[in-house]
Amino acid sequence: MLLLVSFIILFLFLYQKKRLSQELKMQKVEAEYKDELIVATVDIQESERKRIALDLHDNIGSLLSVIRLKMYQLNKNTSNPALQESYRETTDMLDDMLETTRTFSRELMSPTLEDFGLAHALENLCTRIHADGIMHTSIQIVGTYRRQPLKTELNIFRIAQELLNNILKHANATEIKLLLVCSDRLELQIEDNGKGFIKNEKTPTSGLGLKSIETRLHLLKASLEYIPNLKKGTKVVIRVPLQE
Amino acid sequence: MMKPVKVIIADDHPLFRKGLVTTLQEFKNLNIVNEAGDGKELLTVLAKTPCDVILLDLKMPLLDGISAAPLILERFPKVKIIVLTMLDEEQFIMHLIKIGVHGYLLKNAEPEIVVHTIEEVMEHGTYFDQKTVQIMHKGLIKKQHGSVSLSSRVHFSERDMEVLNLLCKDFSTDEIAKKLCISPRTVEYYRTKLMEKTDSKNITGVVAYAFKHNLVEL
Repeated sequence: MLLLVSFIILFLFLYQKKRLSQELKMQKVEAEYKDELIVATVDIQESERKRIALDLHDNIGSLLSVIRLKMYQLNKNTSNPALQESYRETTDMLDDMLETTRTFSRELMSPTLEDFGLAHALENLCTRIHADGIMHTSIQIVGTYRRQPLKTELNIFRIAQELLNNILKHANATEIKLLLVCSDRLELQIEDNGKGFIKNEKTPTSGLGLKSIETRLHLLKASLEYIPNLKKGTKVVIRVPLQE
Repeated sequence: MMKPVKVIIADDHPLFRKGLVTTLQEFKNLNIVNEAGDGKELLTVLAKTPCDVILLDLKMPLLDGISAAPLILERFPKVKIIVLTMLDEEQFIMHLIKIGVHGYLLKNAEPEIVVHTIEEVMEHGTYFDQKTVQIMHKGLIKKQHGSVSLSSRVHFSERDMEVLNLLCKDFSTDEIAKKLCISPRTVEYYRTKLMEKTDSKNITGVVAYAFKHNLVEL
């Protein structure tokens, strides 16, 4: 009898143990699958962006340039002052369209990031915000930036883009300061002098943006810290470990 | 009368290429001798068609203009390269000038400016139109004023930063040593290193540097 009881107990114990280990295994597989899914989603998103950026740049941009050339030829064959005037107007509009196309294309995929790396791309991003006259924007790079795999650079760049967009949209700030500290890891600080960030405040757009930031932080194994300023504004610090 | 300048156009967009050929052919001092749709084709074309000037697009399939330019300069040192692109970022302009291209134009430049650039390059070796010079100028000014300091050679390791942080919080050498579980002598070493790196005579200079560059927070 005792033998039977202990046998049953042993059996139950082993069974439980096996089930537990199987469950753990399942959880691990699930987590891995989830990570793969995140990577795939981000990859698809980025390749789509790149495709659209290329289409804008190559097709629309080039076609606009072709139209500009055709207009030039038409203008050459006329001595009508009214037509010449409208030629000038049309080319001005075409130049505006080209500029807009460039801007869209650049937002989707920064050519500087691909060819010259994160530090230059961030520098350009700041120059553009500054040049638009919206906000005084500056960037300082401490240390020597060494290029990282494009995916790493892209993820950091997207986080910076998202955070800057949030500041532009919601913060009511007049100044943004970026600081990229390069050492054994990368540290990106983005500081503004706006009304500050309230954690529970969630507009639909910022919700989506924050989700994207979270995903990319996860992929980078990076951390993000909000440091509300006592006087005014917010500082966000992102720390990214680098692979050897 | 001078012999017409022999030009090859390299651009992956056939419509743009044709449009440019048609437009430029009307200028008597130019002779469009050939075309190419990518960098690889351009190298083949160059080997059999002698030319004076290449109008080179940057974003092309197979071999892009950025990679093709140094190859061309090496293999055909007499040929002049004028970049003709949509890309107006200062990094591209600077990079290509460093490689050694002779001119840089944006695709919406007036055909007269394209022709003028070709003439100037043929006569004086290089030429950059006002738009390109403006972009370069902005980039250089920005760097000089320090709002962007890419060339700063200061490199801080993680330990450097830890020590720096504690120095700014007014911790003594012994206290820092205890906090970071290292010997006071090692802390001394980092202090000296930080003074060297920030070009300061004493710790006050280091701390001032750290605050000026927002390296620490209190």
